[in-house]
Amino acid sequence: MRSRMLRRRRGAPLRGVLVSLMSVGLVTGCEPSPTATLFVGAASSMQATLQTRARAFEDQHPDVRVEVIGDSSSRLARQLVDGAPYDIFVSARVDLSDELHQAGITSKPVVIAAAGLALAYEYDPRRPSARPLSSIISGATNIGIADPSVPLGHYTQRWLSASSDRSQVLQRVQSFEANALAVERRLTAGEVSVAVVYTQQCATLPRHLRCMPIDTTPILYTSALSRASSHPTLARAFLREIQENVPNSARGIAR
Amino acid sequence: MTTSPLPRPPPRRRWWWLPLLSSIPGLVFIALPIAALIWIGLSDGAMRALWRPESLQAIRVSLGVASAATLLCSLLGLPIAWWLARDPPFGSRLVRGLAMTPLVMPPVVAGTGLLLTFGRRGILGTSLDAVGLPISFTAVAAVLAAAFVSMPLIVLSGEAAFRGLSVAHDDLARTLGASPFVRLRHIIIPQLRNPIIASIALCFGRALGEFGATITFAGSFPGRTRTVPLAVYQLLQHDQESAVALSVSLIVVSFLVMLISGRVIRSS
Repeated sequence: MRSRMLRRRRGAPLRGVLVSLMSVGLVTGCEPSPTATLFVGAASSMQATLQTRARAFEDQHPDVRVEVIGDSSSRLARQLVDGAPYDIFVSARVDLSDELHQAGITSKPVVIAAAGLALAYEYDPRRPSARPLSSIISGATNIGIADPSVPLGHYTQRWLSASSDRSQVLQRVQSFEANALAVERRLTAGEVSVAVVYTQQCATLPRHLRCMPIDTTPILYTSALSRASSHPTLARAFLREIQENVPNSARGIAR
Repeated sequence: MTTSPLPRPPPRRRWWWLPLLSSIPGLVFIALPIAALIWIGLSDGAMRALWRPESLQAIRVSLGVASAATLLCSLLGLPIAWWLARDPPFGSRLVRGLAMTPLVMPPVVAGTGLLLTFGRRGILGTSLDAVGLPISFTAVAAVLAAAFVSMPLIVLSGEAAFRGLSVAHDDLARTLGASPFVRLRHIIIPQLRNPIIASIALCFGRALGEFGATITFAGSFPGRTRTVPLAVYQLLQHDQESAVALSVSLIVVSFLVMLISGRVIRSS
């Protein structure tokens, strides 16, 4: 009896921890947000650029918070169709934004930036800096590309279908990534030595990585306002901020 | 008078070290990734990253979602457990199988199912949306996703708890004239308390770690549906240090929850 009571007493602090965790969760989880929050669903390759614009916008509007959620444009478009509360949609595929506009989900999309495709690779100081494309590909142990269902993967397949290096690349593909940022991460983490990315992304890659443009057919980024936006006036103001400033700050730089 | 021989000493446990030795590879397999996370997560930079508003926000959302999901699971799951423990004459296998399905279902599939039910174009979602009660991509969706995947744990352990109830004590108290309230207060609740707390702790732990169903059905909206696992996934793409710091916070909480359930089960 005594030992049972002792055991019960010993278990009490742990039970207290569980109750505290759940109480804190319930109390703080129900707290309303003190500021208006704009949700921007953006092609992951535009995330860094848009975050810079978001911080600038927040400086001008201290009571507003802008959250940039980066993912593949196709997944974001699907979420918008399913009712996701994005205020603004920035897409790397014009046809997706057009479809959403035609379905009455977003406003008419406006082109805000253009990019191309580039091959990003690890810089090897022992080799000449200007190497032919086939040499970079054949020297790679594995290559990162995006899944064909997402815009970057779609454009990569378009380039590959016209490229003489198609089989060389496909033999070395390690995995098909979910979005442009995931491809970039594989490369920066050293899990692949070569990756197909947007020229947009080249500007922010670490110094040991180089970029070579491989397809100059322009890839257009569009932005549009969600019809279901909970803060349409603020969203329109941020959309203006994007449309005025992104083309200047997001030019693809091939190093 | 004959003298009985001395009792034989119990046989020496000659191979006592074998179970220990054979469990080492498994323990190392579990411990190494956790140790790697803690090793990097306890660095200065990572600890600073843990106190960033985004990290604290994800922890807050996670605790809120997991607590609400646990409450929902308790309300919905314990009656199923109670019914199953009474060995119903029909349908128990079917009900048990149905209740356990989310346990083996890939969470992304669970999220898709929830989306097709409660989503804007889902079976129930269309009507809910029409009356101004959208569910998908809201905090409610995150709670539903976590509850859906955690429910089997509360049903499973809840059924064991109800089965462990001593009917003899209850019958004895009844024959001695104890009222139903007195029996509930002094016999049934004390017996059920610890096992139920253990199942609640398990359910809470599972809800904290939920990822696949949440990202599919609730999305990853900071401050609303971005729980710690979702924040870790997002951060991994550009800020590994913060991702690891958040992972460590989740490991600590999960370990605590497991400790609680283990201790409570032992003490019961």
